[in-house]
Amino acid sequence: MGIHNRMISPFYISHPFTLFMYYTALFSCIFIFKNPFIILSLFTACCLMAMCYSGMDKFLKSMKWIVLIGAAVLALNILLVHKGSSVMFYLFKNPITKEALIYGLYNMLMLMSVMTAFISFNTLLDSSKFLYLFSNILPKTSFVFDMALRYIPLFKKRASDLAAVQSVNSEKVNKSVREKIQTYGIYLKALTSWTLEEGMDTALSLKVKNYGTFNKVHYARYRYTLRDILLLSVFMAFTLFIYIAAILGNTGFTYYPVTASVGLKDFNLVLYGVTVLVIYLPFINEGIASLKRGFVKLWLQKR
Amino acid sequence: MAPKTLISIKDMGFTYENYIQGKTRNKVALTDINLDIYEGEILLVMGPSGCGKTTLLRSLKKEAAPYGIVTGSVESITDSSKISIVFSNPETQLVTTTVLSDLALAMENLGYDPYTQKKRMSETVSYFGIEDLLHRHPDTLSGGQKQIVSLCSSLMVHPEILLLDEPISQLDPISALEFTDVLRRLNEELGITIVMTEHRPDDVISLANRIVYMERSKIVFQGDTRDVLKNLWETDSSSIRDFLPVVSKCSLLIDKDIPACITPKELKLMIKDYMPINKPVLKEEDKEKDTVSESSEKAVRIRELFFAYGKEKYAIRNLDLDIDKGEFLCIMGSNGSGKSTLLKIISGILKPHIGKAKTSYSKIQYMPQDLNSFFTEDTVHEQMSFKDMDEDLYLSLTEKLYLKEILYKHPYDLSAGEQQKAVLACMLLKKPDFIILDEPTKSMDPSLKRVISQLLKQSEATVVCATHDLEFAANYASRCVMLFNGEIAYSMDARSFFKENRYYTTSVNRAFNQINADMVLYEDVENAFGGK
Repeated sequence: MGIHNRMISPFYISHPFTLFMYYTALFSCIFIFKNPFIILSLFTACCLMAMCYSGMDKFLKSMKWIVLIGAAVLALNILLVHKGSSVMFYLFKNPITKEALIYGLYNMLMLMSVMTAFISFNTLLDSSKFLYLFSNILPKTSFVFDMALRYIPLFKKRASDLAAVQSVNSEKVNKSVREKIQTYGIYLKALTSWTLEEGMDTALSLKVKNYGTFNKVHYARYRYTLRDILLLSVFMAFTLFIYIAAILGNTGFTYYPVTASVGLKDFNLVLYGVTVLVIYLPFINEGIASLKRGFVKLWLQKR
Repeated sequence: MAPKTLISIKDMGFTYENYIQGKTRNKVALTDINLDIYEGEILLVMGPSGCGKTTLLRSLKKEAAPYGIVTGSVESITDSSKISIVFSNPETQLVTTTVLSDLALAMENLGYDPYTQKKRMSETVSYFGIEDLLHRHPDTLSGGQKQIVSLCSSLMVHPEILLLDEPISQLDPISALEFTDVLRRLNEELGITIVMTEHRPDDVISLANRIVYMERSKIVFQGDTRDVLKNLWETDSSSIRDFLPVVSKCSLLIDKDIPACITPKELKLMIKDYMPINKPVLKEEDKEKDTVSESSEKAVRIRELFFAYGKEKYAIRNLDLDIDKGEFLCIMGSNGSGKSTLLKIISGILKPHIGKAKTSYSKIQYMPQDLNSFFTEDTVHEQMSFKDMDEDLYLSLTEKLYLKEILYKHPYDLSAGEQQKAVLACMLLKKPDFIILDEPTKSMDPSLKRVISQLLKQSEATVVCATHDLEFAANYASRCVMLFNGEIAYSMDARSFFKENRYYTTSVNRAFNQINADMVLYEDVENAFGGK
C-alpha cells in the first residue's frame, strides 16, 4: 500500500480539478456537519486516504503531532467550558460537564480530520498540480509561487553548506553568544547577496526565453477523461447539495445545554448515506480497479 | 557555392558604463570586431578570461545583449526568436519545480498553441532521450543533466542559431563529452549553426569548423580550425600556446609544417613516422617523491569507513586510506563515486557511520565545489584579510595570482576562474598545514594551473584534491587513488597511475600508449622530440 501503489491508482491520476473538487467537498463536510457520528466517519475517511495515498510512514509521522494537538483541544474544552447541564464532577471548584466532554470530542475530531486530510491532499495535489489549477486564473502569481517553492529548500541547503564550509575554515575558538549571533548575521548577509546575484542571472535566462513578451499559453499537462468529468460532477453536485442542506438547517446538532441524541432519522439518514457514499468514492474507485486488475490477471493465467 | 552569411558584424565596439563611487570608469570590452557567421558552421570563440568572449556572444541576440555603448553594426538575417542562448551556470537556468515545466517555459512564453507545444515537447524529449528526467525536481539532476535540459528547452523554439556561453566550463569531463556529443548531433543531423565560447578547448576542438581567438577585447586570429591552431603555435608565447589543446600542441611541436592534430587518434597515426630524438628522462622530482612517501608520518588514517546519505545505499563502503604528511594526493573517479563525500569526512563536515577517520593536522582549509559558499565578505580584499595576517605573503599572492584587478570587487561578481584564484589566495594566507580541494581546476586557464600548483607546493601543506582533470593530476600530483563504487580501487604514484591506465589517462598517453607508455605529459613529448 501507499507510495508504490500510488502511480497506478485510478484516483491518483485524476485531473487536478477533480481532485480539488473532492477536497472541497470533504472540507465542506468537515466544517458543515456538526453531528459527532458523521464527523467520526469523515475522520476515518481522512485517515484511510492518508494511509492509502501518502503511505503508512508519513501517516504515522504526522499523526504524532495531530493526536497531540487533538488531545490538547479536548483537554482545554473540558477544563475551560463549564456550560452544560450534566455535571460529572468538580475540579478545583469548577464543574466538569458531560456536554463539554462531548463537544470537546467533536472539536478534536473536526480539527484532526482537517489536519489528516491535508496529509493526503499534499500527496494527491502536489505543488505542480496545485499550481496548474491556479495558473489559468493567476498565471504570474502561480509562476512566482512555483519559483519560490523551488527556492526554499535550495536556500536551506545552501545555508547548511555555507555554515559547514565556514566552520571548517575558521579558527576553532569558543564564541560568546554575541559573536555567534554576529556570525549568523554574516551568513545571512552572504546568502542574501548570493540569492540576489543569482536572481540577475535567472532574470536574464528568463528574458532570453521571451518571458513576459507574449500572452502565456499553458502547456496542457492534464486532459479530462470521461471518468474525471463523471467524478467531478458528482463532487460538485454533492457540495451544492450539502450547502443547501446547511442553509435549510439540516446539518446542525445541539450540544448545550443538553446533548441531543446521536441517532439519525429521516432526511438526516439520507444525508449521512449520501455523504459516506461520496466521501468514500475514491476507495470504491480503487476497489473496482483492483478487481478488474485481478480479473485480467486470472484471464491471462487461464490463457 | 559560398555558405550563406547569417550574422555579419562590422567594426563593432562595446564599452561597459561603470559608475564606481560617483566616478565614471568605462571598461572597453570589444574593439574593431569584424566577423561573419556562416550557416551550418560551428564557430569556437577562444581566449583568456575577461577578453570579451561573452560580451561578443551575448551581442548576437537582442534579448541577451549587455547594456553599454555600442558602435559599429551587427546585421542578422535571422529573427531574434530563432536564436537561442545557453549560459554557463547550470544552476540559474532552471527556475521551476519540475523539468517538464522548465522545458515548456520557452514555448509557453512565446504563446504556442497547446497542440504545437505537446508535439515539440514529445519529439524533442524523445530525440534527446531524457524522458525519465521529465518529472524530476531540477535540484536532483547532475550539472551535466541540467545543462542538457537547458539546451533542450532552448531547442523547443526550433532555433537556427545556437549560442553557447562556456557551456561545459562547469561540467566534469564525462558530462562535458556527453554535452559535446549532443552538439555534434545537432549540427550534423539538423544543420543548426552553433557559436560557442570556451577557454578550455580540449573537449570541443574536434567540433569546431572555425576558431576566433580573442585577446584584450580584440580578435587576434580567425579562420579554419587548423590554421588558427598553427597561428597560435607560431606566436611562440607560452601563455598563448597554453590555449592550444594538448594533442595539437604535441603535433605542432613534432612537426609544425603539417596541419595540427585535433584528436588523439590523429596524433597517434601521425607520430608513427617520427622517431624521438632523446630518450625521456625520469624527472628528478619523481625520485624525491619516492623517498618522501617512505619516511613520513600520516596526516590522515582512515580504516574500514562506511558512510550513507539515505537508507538505500552506502556512498562509501569499507574504505581504507592513509595520507602522508606533505604529499599531494589526487582522488580520481567518476561522478557519484564518493569523492566529495570522502573529502567532507576528512574535513570533519560529515562523520563516519562505521569505522574510523583519524586526522592529525593543526590547521585545515577546505575549498568546496560550489565556491559561493566560501565567501561571506563584500570584497575579495575583505575576504582575504584578517587579524595578524602575513602582509608579505598577501602581497606576493596578489601578484602571483594576478588579483590586483579584482581585489575590490564583490566575490560574486567574479568569473568562475577568478573566484577559484581568490579562494586559493584566502586559503593560503591562513598558512594551513592541510588543504582540501574539491574540483579546483574546473574553470581555470592552463597557465593558472601551473601557478597554483607551485603555490601549493611552496606552502608545504598536505594537499588532498578530488578532481576530474587528468592533465592536472598527471602534472602535479604525487599520488593518485582511484575511487570506485565507494572504495579505493587502487593507489599509485601519479606517473605510474597514468602510464598503466589505458582509458582513464591523459590525451598524450592515449596517443602514445602503444608506442611508448612513458609519455604522459606534454613535457615528456617535449623532452623526447626536443622541440624540433
